[in-house]
Amino acid sequence: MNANSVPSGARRLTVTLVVGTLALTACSGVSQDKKSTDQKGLKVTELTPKAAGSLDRITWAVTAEPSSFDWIYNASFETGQIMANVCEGLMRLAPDMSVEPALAESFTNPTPTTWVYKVRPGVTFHDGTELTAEDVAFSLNRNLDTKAGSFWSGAYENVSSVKVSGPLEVTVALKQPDALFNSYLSSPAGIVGSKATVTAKGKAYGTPDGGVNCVGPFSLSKWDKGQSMTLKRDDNYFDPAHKAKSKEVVFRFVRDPAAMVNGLLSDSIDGSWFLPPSAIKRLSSSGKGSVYYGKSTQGFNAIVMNTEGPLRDVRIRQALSMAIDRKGIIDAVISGAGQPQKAPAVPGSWGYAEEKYQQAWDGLKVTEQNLEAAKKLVADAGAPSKPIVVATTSAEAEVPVIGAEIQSAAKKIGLDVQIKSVPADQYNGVYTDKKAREGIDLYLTGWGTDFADPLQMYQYFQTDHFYNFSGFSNPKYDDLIVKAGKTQDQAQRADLVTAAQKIVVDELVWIPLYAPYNTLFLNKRVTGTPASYVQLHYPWAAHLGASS
Amino acid sequence: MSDALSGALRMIAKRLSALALLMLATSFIVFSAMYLAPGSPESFLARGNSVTADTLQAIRDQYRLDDPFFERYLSWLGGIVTGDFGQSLQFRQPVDDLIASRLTTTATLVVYAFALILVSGIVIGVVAAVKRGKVDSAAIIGTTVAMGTPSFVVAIGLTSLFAVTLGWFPAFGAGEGFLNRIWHLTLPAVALALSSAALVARATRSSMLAEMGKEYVETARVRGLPESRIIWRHAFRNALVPVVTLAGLVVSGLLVTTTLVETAFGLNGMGSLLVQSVNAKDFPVTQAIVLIIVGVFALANLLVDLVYPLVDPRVRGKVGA
Repeated sequence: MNANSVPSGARRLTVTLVVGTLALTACSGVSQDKKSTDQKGLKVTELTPKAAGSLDRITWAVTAEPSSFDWIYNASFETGQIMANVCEGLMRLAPDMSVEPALAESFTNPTPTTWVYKVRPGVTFHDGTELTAEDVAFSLNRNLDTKAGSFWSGAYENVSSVKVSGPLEVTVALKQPDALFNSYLSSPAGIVGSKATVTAKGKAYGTPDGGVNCVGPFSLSKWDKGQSMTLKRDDNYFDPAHKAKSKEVVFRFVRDPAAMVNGLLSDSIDGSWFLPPSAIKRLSSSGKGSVYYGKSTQGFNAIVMNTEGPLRDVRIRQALSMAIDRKGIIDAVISGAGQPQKAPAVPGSWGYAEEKYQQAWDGLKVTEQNLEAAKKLVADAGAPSKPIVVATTSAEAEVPVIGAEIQSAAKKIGLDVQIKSVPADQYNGVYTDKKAREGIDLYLTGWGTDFADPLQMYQYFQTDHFYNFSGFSNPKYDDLIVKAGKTQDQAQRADLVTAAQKIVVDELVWIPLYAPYNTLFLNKRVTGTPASYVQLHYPWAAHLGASS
Repeated sequence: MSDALSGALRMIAKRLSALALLMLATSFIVFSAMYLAPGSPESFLARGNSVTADTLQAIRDQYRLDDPFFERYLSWLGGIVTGDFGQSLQFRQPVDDLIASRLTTTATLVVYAFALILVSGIVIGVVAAVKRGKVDSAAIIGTTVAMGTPSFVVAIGLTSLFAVTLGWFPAFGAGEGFLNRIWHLTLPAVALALSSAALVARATRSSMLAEMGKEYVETARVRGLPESRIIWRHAFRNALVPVVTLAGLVVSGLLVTTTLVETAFGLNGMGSLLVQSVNAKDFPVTQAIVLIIVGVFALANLLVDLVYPLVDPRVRGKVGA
């Protein structure tokens, strides 16, 4: 669900994408190459060129070993991008960011609180057994079992029951209408595993010794602890459009970004997602392969942690936001591979009613640079007596640079910013530990949505929400979000969400900074994967193959 | 039983019980430090996913994170006594499995580096002391540079030259099978060994110079013994005592430096596991690795003390005193 930035840190990003007008034929696809060019001349691509043939073995780098391969504990980028090729769910996220059926053959929404899923017939798990409605109901229900501790339990907040309602049919009953539930099923919240295997393996399910049993273009054939995971093509996979092109994909665990870049440059690794920003230029000009930029649902924000301290006055928050040079930050930290961000939900997350969202976005002024207005706001409000404390961590190379940029922007309008460097192991502690938030006014991190719906992001600002760190509370806002959550009609939902967005942006509960593109490197011998940010919820490696 | 032997046994017993106490104290300090630091394992595990409060509580219950401080420490300690090192919080696997799978890489790397340190350090030291002149000056300059260069800088230089530009060695990874593993671990081992090898070379050189100036060397020369025999059988053997002490310290240091080198070369050994575990607040794994490092440190020093009498007859009989 939410967010995040690059690997080393915790958090997670999200997914989505949307290339609005270019409605690509979802399925399979991956054929033509859709590109748009931004003002800096970077090409933003949805798909890489289609593969011409099969390869015996492709080596891919991920920055950490999955902590578990059980889907309910799939919360990291590394786990997500590997598992997306092994374990599919009822729905998946297509390269154009639309949600499409995967293991579900079709679905209906007969009443606002009922979703009925027809399970695709004739689908087999990796062990050859047939997929049944029992497996689907069992898998979804694992997220409702509090003792299991699913990381995707949030998606099931409004679910009252999941039951088998026919030979190949499962019915989900909701406590109240939930416009996001069906989209959530494209995330690990909707993954289906074999009931027999999960039950038989118990606690060992998803560990290197226990393995997994899912439906996906690849099966997990080997897990060499601490070194690598090897996926093997499943020749019995049901969907010809997503059948794996290549025989084997090996995911190597390479923790150090420099080591990973060396691997890419010496042809020992064929590709990787989430490139270290500092290496993008070197990789682009290496002649070893290509760097691709895709649309993403992720944004990078300065989250206001404390509205009692120096940032108490909203005018000071607005002044700081208007002082920041967002383009400068994008050039400095991600080599230009992104766009300025004006609201918590980024353009990549506009999966519907794009024009409405664009119009609302253009109307947001407090997240555009305007030094004169910022100075005036500070003069009116009076500069706070205490410095504004910005937390940074060296665990992610871009964070200290962003901290310094904010500091110098603040100085220009007469605000004092102090940088507090926090050790990597404590930086993520703020999510659950109030103590860790003490003394921090602004916290820098990436967040996004799992699928293309800004509503997912704006739910976090509801009164008493788990991720509402500063305790923001606005009854009108809560009302808009609750209504949007019950509204299936997309145009109406967009009206409600953009109205709520205006409140959050004007209040600057978060100060949005930039929306990075999804980055990808492919060795010149390999091609075929989508470039947009669907690698966590789409079997992208199935399309990888020889470039000639 | 000879006095020397029983003395040695008494010393071993004494040192081993001291080691047990040391480990107990270390484990308590590490446990307390991890307990007091802010942040919590479940927040790392959930990675900012919007989990419900019930889910976080379920994770806390699964790992008994809400138990009182001493109860948690004692239950961990109880497990150790029965040979159970517990479950990793982040990997949901038994700690011993997790460490065993990384041990080969780290052990091979440390042994390989240690061999490089001893062989190259001693050869350079002896040659510099015997030849003097230009050879000696070159050795002094070379070892000074090597001692002053941090291992991760060496790692970067070696990789960009030998792996990326020349392509002679792999840029990362530990390899499989003996020869392949040695090939993969060569650059990491050189990076790990370089500064320590220089240190050993310098120690060997000065120790050799001191011995070569002693009377017995003169005497041997006057008696017409061949120079190579004088150097290796007489002077070198006596010069070895300080070198052995140093080697003991170096080996324990390697276990710590390996953390940096493993990270730089993308090796999933114990060092990088330690860093990962500290970041994830994965207490049982951190604890186990720290104890292994402390144990190796103490055992290496014990071994050095046991080797002394073999190297230097004058120490014989004094051991254990």
